[in-house]
Amino acid sequence: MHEFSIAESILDVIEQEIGPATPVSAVHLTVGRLSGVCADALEFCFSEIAEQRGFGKPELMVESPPADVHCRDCGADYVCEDFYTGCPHCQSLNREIRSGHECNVDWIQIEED
Amino acid sequence: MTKPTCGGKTVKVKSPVMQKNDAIAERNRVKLEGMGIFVINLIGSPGCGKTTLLEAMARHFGERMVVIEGDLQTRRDAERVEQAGCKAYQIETNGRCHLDAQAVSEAIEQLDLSDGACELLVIENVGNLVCPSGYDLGEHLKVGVLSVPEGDDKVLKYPSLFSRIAVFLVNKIDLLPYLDFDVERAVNEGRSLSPDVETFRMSAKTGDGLEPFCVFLEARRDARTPGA
Repeated sequence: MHEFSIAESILDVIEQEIGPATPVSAVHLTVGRLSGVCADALEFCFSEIAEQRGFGKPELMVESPPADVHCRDCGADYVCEDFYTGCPHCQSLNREIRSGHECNVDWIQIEED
Repeated sequence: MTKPTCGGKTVKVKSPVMQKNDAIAERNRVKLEGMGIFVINLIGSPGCGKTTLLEAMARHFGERMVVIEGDLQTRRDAERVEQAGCKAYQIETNGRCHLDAQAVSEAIEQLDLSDGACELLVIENVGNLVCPSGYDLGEHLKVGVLSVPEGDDKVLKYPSLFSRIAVFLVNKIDLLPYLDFDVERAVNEGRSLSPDVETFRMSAKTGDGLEPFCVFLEARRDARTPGA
């Protein structure tokens, strides 16, 4: 359940950007498919901690784009949804993962007065 | 990307969620590298033999190695490593399932490393194949340990760890005659998740296979902290 710690880290980012205890209506996150972060568990933890820390009841919007991968055998660039699918051209798993582990806060929407 | 709907001021951020942890981790790394210390983050299940490995490494490296132990409760692991001959500091996380860079930073402050004896700092993470994998502590190498009794099918079941490690240790190979563990399968599946992973097979208990791992760490340390 490290999603609790991740939720705390999201709120640290929000606090740094907009200051403490500012009511927020929505937060958008990008969570890569290979990040190992469970969006459902994160939403649960986030709403609990957000309210405790005075950020209101923001909606957490999570987008999970597929990973960008470069095949080191045939040179193809492709996207994949998981760790197990090889290159669509040569089936190789010898690859360089260029994105997919990321977990970023994209934007924060502050509540209207 | 989904755009904000209506009302309220929108602040564009584009910040990694782990930025605070990652900044502290980088500070740890720079500080230790400046002291000529190479750092590894040792991750594996409870009971896979992490502490037994550290006891064996303590006998090999002696005072050149220092250990930071992470556990939910008790100083048991730090005491074991100290008895084996090296300095150790115990972090008790009080329930937290992983170490983070701040906890390691505080441990580094508590450990007196100023005498210049330490060349290798090993951080033994909380026994867990999931949560520790996403936290940079300031290490140079993430080392994953899988032991023979756990089963050769575990690599693909825990991809967030096995895709991020630079070194894969298969431990307890002395038990191979008694258990159905296919080392080749585990190693091949490890390479499918992390193509450049270095692999070692060992029994930390008998010492079989320990020497090549220690030699590898010394070479990596020399390459990373030249002249230190």
